[in-house]
Amino acid sequence: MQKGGFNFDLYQRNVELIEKNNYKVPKTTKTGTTIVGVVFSDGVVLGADTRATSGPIVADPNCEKIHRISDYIWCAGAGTAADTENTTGMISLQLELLSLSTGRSPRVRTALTLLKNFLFRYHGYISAALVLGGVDFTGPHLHMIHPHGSTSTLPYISMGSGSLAAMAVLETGYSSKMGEEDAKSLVHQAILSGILNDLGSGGNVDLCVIKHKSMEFFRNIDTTNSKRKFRKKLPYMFKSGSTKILEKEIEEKMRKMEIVNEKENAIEELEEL
Amino acid sequence: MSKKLNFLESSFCKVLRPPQLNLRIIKPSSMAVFAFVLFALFIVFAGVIYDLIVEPPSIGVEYVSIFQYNGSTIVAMAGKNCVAIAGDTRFGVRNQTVALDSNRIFKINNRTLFGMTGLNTDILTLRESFKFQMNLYNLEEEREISPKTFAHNVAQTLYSKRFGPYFITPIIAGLEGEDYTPFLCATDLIGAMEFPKSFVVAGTGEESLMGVCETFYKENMEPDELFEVISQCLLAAVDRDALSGWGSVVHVLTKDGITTKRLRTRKD
Repeated sequence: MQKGGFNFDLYQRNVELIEKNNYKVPKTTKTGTTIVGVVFSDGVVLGADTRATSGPIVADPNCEKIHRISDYIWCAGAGTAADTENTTGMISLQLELLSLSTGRSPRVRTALTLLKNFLFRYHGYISAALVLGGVDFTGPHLHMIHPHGSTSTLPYISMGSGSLAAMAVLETGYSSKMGEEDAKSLVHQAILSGILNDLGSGGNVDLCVIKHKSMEFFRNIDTTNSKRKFRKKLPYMFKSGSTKILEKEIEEKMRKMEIVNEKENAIEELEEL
Repeated sequence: MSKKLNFLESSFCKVLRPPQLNLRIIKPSSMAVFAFVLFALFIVFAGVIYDLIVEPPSIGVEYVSIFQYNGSTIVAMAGKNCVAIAGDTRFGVRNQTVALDSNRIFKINNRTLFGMTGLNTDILTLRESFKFQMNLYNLEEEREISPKTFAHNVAQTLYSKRFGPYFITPIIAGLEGEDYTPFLCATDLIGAMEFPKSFVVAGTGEESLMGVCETFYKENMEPDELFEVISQCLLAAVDRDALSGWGSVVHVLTKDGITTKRLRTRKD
C-alpha cells in the first residue's frame, strides 16, 4: 500500500519516455488567474476569478480558487491547480491538528509559516502562488506567498497572470480608511479588470469577506461573463433511433422473475413421466 | 619533325618547367594494409548501423505529446438522474492500429463508472491498482464506495506521483446519494479535479468533443435522449481525430442498471 508523501517511482521511466523520444511535456491544468486581497477596517476581503486553463483551452470555466485553511483563514491560489489544492489542503490539515493540540484558535501567521516552509522545501517545483488572508485574535492579516517560499505582508495584494490589471485598479482605489462595502466593490472591480484584460483569467467573480468570527463566501457574485447572449433557444433534438447500434447489453440491477412456461395441466404431465 | 620539337622545347620549356617532385615509392607492410582495410570496414559498418538502428529516418511526427502515443477519446454526460459515458475502442501504437476491442471504461460498482485516456500501459496499471484499492475498501468499509469518494481517491493517487506522473486523464461518472444525483468528475494527469454539471471530455479528440458537446448538450435529458446525444457527439468528434475510432462503446447508467451499446464508427 502507499505510504504518505510524494512517490518518485515513475520518474526514471518518464525521463526515458519523454526526453529520449523528444515528446513534449504534458500540460497540467493551470489557473492563469487573477487573485486579489484587500485589508479594510474590520477584516479582509479576498477575490478570485474562476477560469482553469489547460494550455490554450479552458478546462473548467467555473472552478473554485478560494480554499479554506481554517474557519476564518482563507487562501486564494494561482499556478498549477493540483498544487494549490493539495498544498492548501495539506496546510489546513496541519493547522487543524496544531490548533487541537495547542488548544488555541489558529493564527494567520502560523498558516503563513507552514506554507512558506513547505513550498521552500520544494524550491519552486510546487508551483503555487497564494494570497493568504484571515482574521485571528490579533486582528486582520493579509500575506502573499510566492512558489519559491518568499512572503510579503501588505495591505493590498494581487497575484496571477492578471495581477498587473488588478493592481492598477487597487492602486487607484485603495485607501486605508475603507469600510466593508468599499473594499468589496474595490476587489470586485480589480477581479473584473483581470477577467477583461487578461487572457488567462475569465469566468465569474468569487468574493470572500472575513471579519472577526464571521466569514461570508459569495460564490459567483458576478456572472455577466457566463451568459451566452446568442444561444439557440430551441436546442437540436436527435430523433430516437438516429444512432445505429451494433450490439446491446443490459445489466439490470433488479432481476425480475420471468415466467417461462405456463401450463394448465402440469400435474398430469408429471405423472406421465 | 625534330626541328619543330626543338622549337617547342626552346620556347615553352624555357617558361614552363616540370615540378621537381622527390617522390618516394611507399611499400607498406601487409599488416599495415590489413589494419587500414579493417578500419575502413569498421567505419562503413558503424555508419550503416547508426543509420538503420540508432537513428533511423522515421515516418511520423516528432515533438508530439506522449498522450498521442496510443490515442483514445472518452466523453461523459449528465442527464436527469442518469449519466452516460462513451469512448472509442481503438488500441494503436503511433500510427498503427493494433487492436479494435480495447476497453478503457471500467465499472467500479453499480453507481460508478470510471474511464481513462492516455498512455495504455498506465491505464492498465491503474485499472489493477484501483481494483485492488476498491476490493480493500469493500472489505474494510463493508459498503460500496460513492462516486465522489472514488474521485478524490483517484486524485490523491495521481498527485502522489506529482513529480513523475502517470500519463492518463481519468473521468469518473456516477450517481450520488439516495436521490441518484448525477456526478461527473475529470482530473488532469496530476489530479486537479473539476466537477462540471454538464459534460466532461478527455483524450486526443477532446477539442472536437468540447465543441460538439457544447452545441448539443441540454439539461435534464432522459436516458434515451442522453444516449442519442452522447453517441452523436462521440461519433462526430472521433471522425475528426486520426488516433481514435475503430469502434465505440456507450454505457448509460441509471438507477435500474447499466445499458451498454456498441456503435459502428468509421474504420479508418
